[in-house]
Amino acid sequence: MWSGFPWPGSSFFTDDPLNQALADTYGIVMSTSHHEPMQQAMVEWRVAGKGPWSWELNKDAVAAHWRAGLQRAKPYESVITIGMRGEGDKAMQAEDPQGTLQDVINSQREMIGSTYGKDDGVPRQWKTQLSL
Amino acid sequence: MALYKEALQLYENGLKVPEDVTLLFADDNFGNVRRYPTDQEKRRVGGSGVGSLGQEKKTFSELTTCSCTTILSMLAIHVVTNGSIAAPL
Repeated sequence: MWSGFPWPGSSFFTDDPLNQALADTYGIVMSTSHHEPMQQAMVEWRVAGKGPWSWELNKDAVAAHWRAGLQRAKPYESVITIGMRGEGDKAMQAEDPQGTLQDVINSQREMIGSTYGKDDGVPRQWKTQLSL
Repeated sequence: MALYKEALQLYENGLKVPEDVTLLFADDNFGNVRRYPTDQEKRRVGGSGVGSLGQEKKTFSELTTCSCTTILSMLAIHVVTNGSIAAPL
């Protein structure tokens, strides 16, 4: 999401607790920018100050951050972006970028699975509608 | 999942992206696209397509806040000839 949202240091998700609900009421499907996975804005990470944005060095904090994003978005129709780059959409700093990114994607799918019940996040009800 | 810069190289080196994830082949901020999805990639459950990532963080002289370096007509050609829907910015 655009980092210059109304109040500095806030994002669409945190600026007003009713934002996600209101968007959902209007049928607006929310997502985040390509470098902000799991319904979390990069500005939220910076504000939280939980250490480096690195899967290798700071896995627990990053994973918790992502789980929180998924949990927060659970009641609302969302498009979840996955993957990971460096902070602020720079190249990832890692010993083995491919291995790290693969691990990131696998872990993100697992988190989506445990939060939404299926690792592609599509609820069973929706699948039934599609098949009609 | 947006495939651009080193992410596209990693993908072509064999990164396994689940079938239902949409692949976004992005332009280089100037309207040039490295490659289109292959037929196999188009058949993915999640689909794939060409789109622009909008303003990517770049050097000061390349900042697009005041001007848009992405040549939209080029992007339109990529999207129309590729037959895919442009992904959101």
